[in-house]
Amino acid sequence: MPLKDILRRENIKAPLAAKDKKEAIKELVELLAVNKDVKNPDLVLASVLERESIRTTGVGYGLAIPHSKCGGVNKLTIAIGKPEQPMDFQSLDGQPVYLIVLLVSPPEQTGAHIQSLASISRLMTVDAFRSKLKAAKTADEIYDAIAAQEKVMVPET
Amino acid sequence: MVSMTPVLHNLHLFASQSVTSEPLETAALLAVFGMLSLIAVLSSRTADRVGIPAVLLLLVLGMLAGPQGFAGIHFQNFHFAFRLGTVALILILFEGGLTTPLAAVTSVLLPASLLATVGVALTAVIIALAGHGLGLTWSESMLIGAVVSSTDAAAVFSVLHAGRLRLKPRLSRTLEVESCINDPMAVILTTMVIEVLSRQHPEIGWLLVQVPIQLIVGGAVGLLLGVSARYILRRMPLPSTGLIPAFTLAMAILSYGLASILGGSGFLAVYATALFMDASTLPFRSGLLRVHSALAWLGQIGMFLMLGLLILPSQLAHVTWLGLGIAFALALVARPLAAAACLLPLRFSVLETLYIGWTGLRGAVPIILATFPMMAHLPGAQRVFTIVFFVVVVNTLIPGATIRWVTRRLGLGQEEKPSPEAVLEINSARPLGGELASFFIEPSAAVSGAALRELEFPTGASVMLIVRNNQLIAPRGDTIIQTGDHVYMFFQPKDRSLMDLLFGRAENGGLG
Repeated sequence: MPLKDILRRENIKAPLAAKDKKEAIKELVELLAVNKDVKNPDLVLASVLERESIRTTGVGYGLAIPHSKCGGVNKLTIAIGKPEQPMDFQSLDGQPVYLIVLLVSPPEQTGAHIQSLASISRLMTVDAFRSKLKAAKTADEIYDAIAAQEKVMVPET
Repeated sequence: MVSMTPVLHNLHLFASQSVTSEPLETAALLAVFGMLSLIAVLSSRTADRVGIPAVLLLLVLGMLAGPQGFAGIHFQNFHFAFRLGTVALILILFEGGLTTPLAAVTSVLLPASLLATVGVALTAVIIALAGHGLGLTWSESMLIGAVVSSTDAAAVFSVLHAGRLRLKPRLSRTLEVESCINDPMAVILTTMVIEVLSRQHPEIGWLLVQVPIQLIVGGAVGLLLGVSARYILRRMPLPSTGLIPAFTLAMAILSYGLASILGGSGFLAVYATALFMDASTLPFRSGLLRVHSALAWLGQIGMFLMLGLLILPSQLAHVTWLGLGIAFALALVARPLAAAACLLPLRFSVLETLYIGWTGLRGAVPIILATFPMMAHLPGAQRVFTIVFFVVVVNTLIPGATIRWVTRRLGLGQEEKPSPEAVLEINSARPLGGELASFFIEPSAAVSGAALRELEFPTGASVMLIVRNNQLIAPRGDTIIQTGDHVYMFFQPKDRSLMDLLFGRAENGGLG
């Protein structure tokens, strides 16, 4: 399933008010709760932070992909946030992150969960796309950049 | 132990006076050293739980075995102590370098080098003033200032790497790198003070130029030997894997000797050699690290036991208040001020600066430096040695015992839990293309509960083996990854971050 079909424009927030990693994740979970994509934000937040405690999801390239599978959500859902300033995420490469993609899904959607994680991380290996996201100021710019890039990488059949 | 005492009373270790009582003398010596090492190893469990650095325990143990303790070993050979101490520090520093990624060092090079130069000089000056204020002569207080001015790598590594401390990488790296590169400065300061005191008309200007020269030559020798060692290990397979650690050990010793002869810092060269070997991509990696870890432990045990032997408890009593006064001046004034002067301009937060100011661990280096005045037969050298011992014990004990509490309290811990140990080891004797890693599956990992066929792996990546409880499982399409599994993966280096993202927690020491 292409990301643009999972991602809704209202689930993108730029800039985030949060100043650190924990606050940023909380802000994104709350955004999903406000938009009715998450029914139990406390449960989702706790499980995302639990995943974060075993290994950072700051995969490098200035990107972090916090994620979890848990019961507090109806279907595979994505929220994207752009911190006002690049933020420390204890990333693998030590670089601060400028884009946070939160991905949550119900426990039974393991396959789709993993595939979405993989495709987000695959998208981010494209240099031109990364610089586009780095420059993006608004939620719409971020959404359009992702939709356009997906079109290039996965031509619709 | 008691029955051995009469023999040992007559032991003048390494003083080459009596050869008549051999081989009994050697046997007794080895028996005592073996016994002390054994006690040291076994008691490290308790020390770790309480948070006391294991090294401190060793000092006390050595003291108890000394002339005024239960074993009555008479060992006042400062020249030999200096040699043994140097060898032990080489082993410790080399292991430290092997386990530190090069990139981690470069990221903290600026704060660490400031602490290692300006910080050390500032510490020495403040301690000299404090010592004089407390009633020491100028010569004594200047000596003490110079000798205790550098932090100690062995103590820092032993405290920072102890089990449950998970400090923020920037802080732990800064402390580690600082401790490895600040010895030349302290050595130079000590030499300078000794030359002034023995009225040899030193050229102070020349001595100051020594600092950058020592660092550059030491670093260059390390770079050269490290890169060549790496080249040799990757291109020329040795006939037995047992020879690989023998080769690296030879490189470690050689780098110290070579750098020192060329006028560089030997200790820095040892650390740099290990660093530039980039152990994470060497063949036989985990086996190599294990050997060097054992050698580093032996170095620590030997060195601190020996240093304990050099101290006479009766002399400690004479300088208790003076020793404590200087020790606290170092812990509470000199070190925090030096840290603030070096780190605040570099945009370290006040909390981080306080933390680094608090963890100025002293250890073997100051005690080894304190043997310099003894060897130079300076007046007051014995008193200086004893006071330095005090300073070291206090400045190891206080930060060492409080470091976990302080780390938690100031919120400077790393959020991640430590990596579990792998259950299965795979070693390659030759460099191989591609990466091997094992992951421990936590309930929150993305892949937990997934069937292997659901994982869309990049080409050149696959699950090789799953270890579940005591069972080895062949990975097949319908195999479901479960919580608690150890999953052994093969993949290309570029996909490392994807693997970390999907599998979560990589394990320690399984592959190499």
